[in-house]
Order: sequence, then C-alpha cells, then structure tokens
Amino acid sequence: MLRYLLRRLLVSIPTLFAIIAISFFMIRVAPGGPFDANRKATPEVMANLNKAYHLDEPLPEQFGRYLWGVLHLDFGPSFKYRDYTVSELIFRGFPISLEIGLWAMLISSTIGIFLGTLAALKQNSAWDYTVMTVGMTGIAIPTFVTAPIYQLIFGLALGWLPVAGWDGGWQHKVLPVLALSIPNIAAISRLTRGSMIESLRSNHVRTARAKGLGIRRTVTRHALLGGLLPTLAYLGPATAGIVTGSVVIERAFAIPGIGRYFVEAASNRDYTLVMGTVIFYGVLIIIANLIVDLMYSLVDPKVRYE
Amino acid sequence: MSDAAFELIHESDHGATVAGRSKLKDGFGRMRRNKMAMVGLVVLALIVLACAFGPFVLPFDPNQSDFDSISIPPAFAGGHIFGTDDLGRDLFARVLEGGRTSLLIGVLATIVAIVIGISYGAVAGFFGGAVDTVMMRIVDVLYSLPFLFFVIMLTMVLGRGIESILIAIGALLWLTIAVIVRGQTLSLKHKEFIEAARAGGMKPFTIVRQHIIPNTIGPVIVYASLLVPEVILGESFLSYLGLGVQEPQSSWGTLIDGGAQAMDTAPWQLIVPGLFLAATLFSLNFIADGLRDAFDPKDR
Repeated sequence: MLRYLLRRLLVSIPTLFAIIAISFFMIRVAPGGPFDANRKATPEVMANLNKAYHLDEPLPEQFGRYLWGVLHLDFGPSFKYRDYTVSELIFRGFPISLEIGLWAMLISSTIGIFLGTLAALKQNSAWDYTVMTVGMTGIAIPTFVTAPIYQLIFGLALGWLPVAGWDGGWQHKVLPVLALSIPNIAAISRLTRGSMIESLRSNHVRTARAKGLGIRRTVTRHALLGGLLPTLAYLGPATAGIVTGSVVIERAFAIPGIGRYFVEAASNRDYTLVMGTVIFYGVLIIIANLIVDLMYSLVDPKVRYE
Repeated sequence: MSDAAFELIHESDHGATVAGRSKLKDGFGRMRRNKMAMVGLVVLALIVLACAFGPFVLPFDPNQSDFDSISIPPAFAGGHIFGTDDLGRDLFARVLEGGRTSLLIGVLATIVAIVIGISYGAVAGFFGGAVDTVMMRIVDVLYSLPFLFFVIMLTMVLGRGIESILIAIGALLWLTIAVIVRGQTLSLKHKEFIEAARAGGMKPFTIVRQHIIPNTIGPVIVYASLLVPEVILGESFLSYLGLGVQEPQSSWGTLIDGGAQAMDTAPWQLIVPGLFLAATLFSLNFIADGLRDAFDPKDR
C-alpha cells in the first residue's frame, strides 16, 4: 500500500512537470507581452521592467526560475492585479471554490447513489424511467443554461434566494451548489444504476438472498459494495468536472472564486495568473485521482497494488 | 443430388455471403430498431437542415438591426416567431446562424480528433515495443491535463476565432480514440489475415491503412458520436465565457451568454438558444446510446 502510494506520487511528477512545462512555453509563444499596455514606456524603462521580471534571461533559465518558484508555491506576480502575487489571488479564491465544490460533490454523490440504487432495484418501472430521463436531461443541458434559469425562477420570479453575489451566507450558496450538483447527480445515478443492476444479479447477492437475508441488508451489505466501484472510479473525473463547472458557475453567480480569476485572466492576457491557475487545477485533479484510487483499493480487495 | 436441390443449397449457403453483411451494415440495422435513437436522428436532422437552409428562407438577416422592433417577445404576428434581441435582430435567424457555427465546429473538430486518434493509436499498437511505450506514455501525460483549461490556453496562443477553437479542441480530444484504436489493433495484429498480408509482402503502413484501420471503425464510430456533443458543449462553454467565438460571428454559446445577461427583461433570449443546444445534445446522446448498443459486442 505504502509502496503503491509512493509509486503513484513518483508517477505524477512527470505529469506535473509536463503541465508546468506546457503552460510555461505555450504562454511564451502567445502574442503580446505583459507590458504592452504600458503606453510610451521608454526603452530604458522597458529594459528595467524586463530585468525586474527576469524576462531578459534566456528561456531555459526563466523556466528553471519559474519551476523553482512553483515548488515553493510562488507563481510570480500577477501582471494585471499589480499589487498581488498569483499565489495570493489563488489562495484568496480557493476557499470559496472549494466550499462550493465540496458541497456539490457531497450532495451529488449522496443523491446520485441513492437514486441510482432505487432505479436499479425497481428496474424498468415508471420510477426507473423517471430517474433515467431526468438523468439524461441533467447531462444534456449544460450548466451555463441551467444556472441562469435557476436565477430566473428562484431569484427573480419567486424571490426566494439572491440572484447572484457572495457574502458567505448560505443563501448565496444554494443556487450555485444546485446548478453544480444536478449534472453530477445525473451522471452518478446513471452509472450507479448500471453497475447495481449487474451487482444485484451476481452470485454472492443471490446467495445472500437465498439464505434468507432481507432485501435491505442484502443491498446495503452485499450489493452496494460491488456496485459502487464504478461510481467510486467516476469520482476522479467528477472532481475535474466540478472544477471546470465551477468556472461557469462562478461567472454566472458572480462568485469571487479561482474560476472567475481564471476567466478574467484569460481575457485580460494576465499570463502568470493563467499559468498559476492551470497548474493549480492540474495539481488538484492529480490529487483527487490519487485519493479516489486509494479509496478504490480500500473497498475492493481484488485490486491489489504492488 | 438433383440440380435444383443443389442450386437451393448453393443459394442459401452462399447467397448471404455474396450479399455481404458487413459489420457496419449489421450495426446500422440494429440501430434502426432503436426508437429513441431514431427519434434523436430525426430531431438532429431537422436542426441540421434548419441551420443549413433556414438563413436562406427566413426573411430576416441575423445581423440586421431593426430599431423599431427591439426586444419583442416571441409571437407569430410580426414574423419574429422567437422574438428579437436588444438590437432588434431576429432571434430565430440568429439561432440558426449560431447553430451553423456550433454544428460545424462539432463535426470538424471531431474529424480532426478521429484522424489524429486513429493514426496515432494504429501506429502505436501495430509497431508495439518501445514505439508503443513512448507514444502511450505521452497519451497518459496529456490525459491528466485539465482539458478545457488547456483549450483556453491554446486559444490564447492561436488567437480567438473559429479556427483556433477547432485546432485547440481537436488537438486535445483524440486521446481516447487513440487508446481505443490501439487496443483494437493489438488484438487484430496477430490475426491470420494480417499475417497473410505480411507474408504477401505488404508494407507495414499499408497494412495499417488497409487492414487495421477499417477493422477498428465500429468502436470509433461509437466514441465519435459521443465526441460530437462534447465538442459542441466545449465550444459553447468557451463562447459563454467570452473566450470562444467572437463578434460579429455567433454560436449557441455566445447567444446563451447574451441571453443570460438579458434574462430579467427578455428571458426568451436565453431560452431559445438554450433549447436548441439542449435538443441537439439530447439527440446526439440518444444517437450515441443507440450506436453503442448496436456496435458494442459486449451488450448484445
């Protein structure tokens, strides 16, 4: 187990390196420099600026410097928010994004697994078809369509919840979490249904039923364990989806998380901030996948990690 | 055996093989019996036809402002059946025009991804060994990149616009196809007909092109049908964030973005393009499901 963990961590180093390297060199190729907006800067000023930000050094040296910085969680200064470093911006936005993301994750996995299991137990019933149709709808309608519709219904028409904004109170969290959860509830319930149907038909479940175990205990003790494996495996990609989704949600609901910094940075050509957020997201997804794999090994004794 | 009987047997034996039931034909036959998939196909065909020919038929220019009819709600009376936007442009015309962009990007980027994926996967699988290891290692690394963020970075490098979205999405979405095709190739390459081709002196690349790739087409069709909605969604996502298609060009994403900003006064500006996008994604998903049931040997 420990060896597996170590190996996985080692394997993620090249991935991380690739993420940093690709971001770094891609941004260097992008047209326009960070100081193009400085009108009429004399050549001396430009030279000094470039020197201050080490832009006059050869590329490999700059890359090394950046890499070294990233290892110390230093992503350099933001080119647009003049008085902030990229790390400051990321760590200011991250707690907010994380809170919404975790709620969405918790709600979508609980409800998704519950609905999926129910649909599997009553396969081909009206209930099953309802869950699956709703699931298909949830997957097919993207969050940037649903989010404004929720705002329209719950914010403007009914007036129950604030349309947008963020003050840390729960009222501001309901709609973003809802919008972010629905597609994942849909995906998770569909996935759970499929694997639970298979699991309910398997030999060990039939044995449990045959020896007189009640349906409830059979499902919770025997069927769910096997049936949840694909769902568990999906939680890795789901994290990535929630991270991406939060970019839309944070824009739609005007929430000051990293997603919004990222979008603003991308349209402002704030290169260091874009790189910083992409790397940060990359690390987040790697960690999420690692956690999911470890959980997988705890649940499924057949999966043995050498 | 009488001649007639012989003929009968001959026909029943070989008639079928001569007619040729290819894997493709077989699969599409099964697909035709899937109701949801056929409904999806019809809806999609209607949307595609409307986007293709609608702009020629409609009496309104999607980019022509009419300041006498600003933000009028959907009504059959004035001819603006889906209403107009803040500048008095006919929403139906704009949605069809935007649909052209979205659908075009969906199809073209998928083709780019398929071409790269098939060639990459077939080469890696067929040549095997160190070539395979290195090529698949690269795929592994690319897989763990946060896809949409790299698309956004790529569009920053390439400049905004349809072409760069196409390249950016196509350049990053071929990974799964490559993995599928490689797997297929591995199981194919020791089959007798490949040995025969090799023994007959065929060059490796010709074998890959003529024997390997045609036989991997089934799973690729299935996956490609899943890819099209993903690309359309990706494009709309970028355009919604203001990082994709730029004015004066429009796509469903830019229309939804505009609609979301006007939703308190003119909700139809959000709902109409949203419905078109959702209907398209819906039908594509049903078609993909149908194709998977028809072509995936596991589920038969």
